[in-house]
Amino acid sequence: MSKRLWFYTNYHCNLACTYCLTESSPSVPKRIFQPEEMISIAKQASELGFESIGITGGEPFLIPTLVDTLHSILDILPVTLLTNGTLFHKKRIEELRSLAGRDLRMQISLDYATPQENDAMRARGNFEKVIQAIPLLLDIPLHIRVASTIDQHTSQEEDALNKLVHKLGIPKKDHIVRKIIHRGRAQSQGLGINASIEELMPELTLTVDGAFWSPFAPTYKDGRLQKDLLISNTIQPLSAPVDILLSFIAQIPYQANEHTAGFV
Amino acid sequence: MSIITLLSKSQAPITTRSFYAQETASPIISSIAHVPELLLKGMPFIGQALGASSVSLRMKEMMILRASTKLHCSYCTNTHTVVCIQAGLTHNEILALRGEKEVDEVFTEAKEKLLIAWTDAMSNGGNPISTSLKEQMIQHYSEAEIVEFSLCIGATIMLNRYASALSLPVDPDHLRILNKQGFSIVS
Ligand code: SF4
Repeated sequence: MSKRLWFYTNYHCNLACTYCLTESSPSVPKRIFQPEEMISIAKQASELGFESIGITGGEPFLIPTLVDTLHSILDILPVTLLTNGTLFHKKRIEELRSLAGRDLRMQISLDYATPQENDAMRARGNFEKVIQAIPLLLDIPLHIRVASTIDQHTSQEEDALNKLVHKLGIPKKDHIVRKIIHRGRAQSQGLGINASIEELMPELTLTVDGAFWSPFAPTYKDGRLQKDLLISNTIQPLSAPVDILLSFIAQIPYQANEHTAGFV
Repeated sequence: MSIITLLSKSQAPITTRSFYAQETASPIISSIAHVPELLLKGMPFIGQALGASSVSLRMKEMMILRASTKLHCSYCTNTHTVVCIQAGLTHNEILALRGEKEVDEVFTEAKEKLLIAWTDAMSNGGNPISTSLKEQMIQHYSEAEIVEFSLCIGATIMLNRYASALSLPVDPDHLRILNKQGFSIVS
């Protein structure tokens, strides 16, 4: 079992990507994980031996108090934060300066090297916002990674993307390419690869709906939570879902592949 | 029609799948599967309380069918009529437990009649159980048996209320068996 604990801060998003696992969009119920509860669980996670926290959504930066919450969690454990990278206006960049030097990795989505290709599955203007934001964030300085979620890249597309990411100042080790997973909206759209439980690394993931097998698990399809990878509805005390997961893991012959080995 | 989705094996949380022998499971399992931690802890208890143990399946099923009848739970009454057939109870015994014949006309053993009286007393809302009935139980049964009986009846009543509240549907195969064996379907 991974030593990272994931939180879904919320399910709403300013975008509505074609392959979104959680069917996120500006109009879905927000399902916000209360910051105080996240902090309290992060403390329990540290006591139980977890070594880091992952934060995803929805778009976490839609939560106005996110930076304060990050500081509190970073006082406990290192954090990897996933964002679509489109909400970094001037005021937000100023606010993020307080995070310089903290043990935080911020991971931004960028799928293709051109606006036409990148924005086709995400949203118009997405590409421009991301490539403008990355240098500003690196300047702070923050540890920035780029995650590319793709159905199929040609070798030209792959080359072009690698060049762009390099040009943006992101080292190769901080560029993650992963396949679309066939769940949530991607499933409705007929996109992505199937990932069975044997292929998904167990990484305990908490949302307001419960505790799940991995961050690929708490997905929504046709407006309904997909419960097949639910571990328990109880999330507190954290030892409750941890115990269930640990006793269950032994029964699963887990064999990750490069796309399912972890969420990042 | 159940008021909540009955999860098939492929929809059900992974931690609950061992409770599914096939793609579908009983409505009790496939509804509680929405809360895996409840199923994981609750089913072993339910299985122990309601299934054969040091108390025979015949006695357990007598109590379950009787309590379900008293609680007017159509799901449990129909379902456990079938289990009673499978457990070897006679047609008349089942009718008597379902209140469709007089218990005294069908059951002859004093200890079994006492067990039915105990079930009736426990299934009678919040009304107190008479001292004389308690004394008879202590005379005829061991303390361990009284505990098992009382928990079996209590767990049945819990499931009666659960199944009725959620409108759990009876397995169509069970309905066919009831028809074939000449039992009315309780609604
Ligand atoms: S994939 Fe990410 S950015 Fe796109 S809609 Fe879903 S949560 Fe938002």
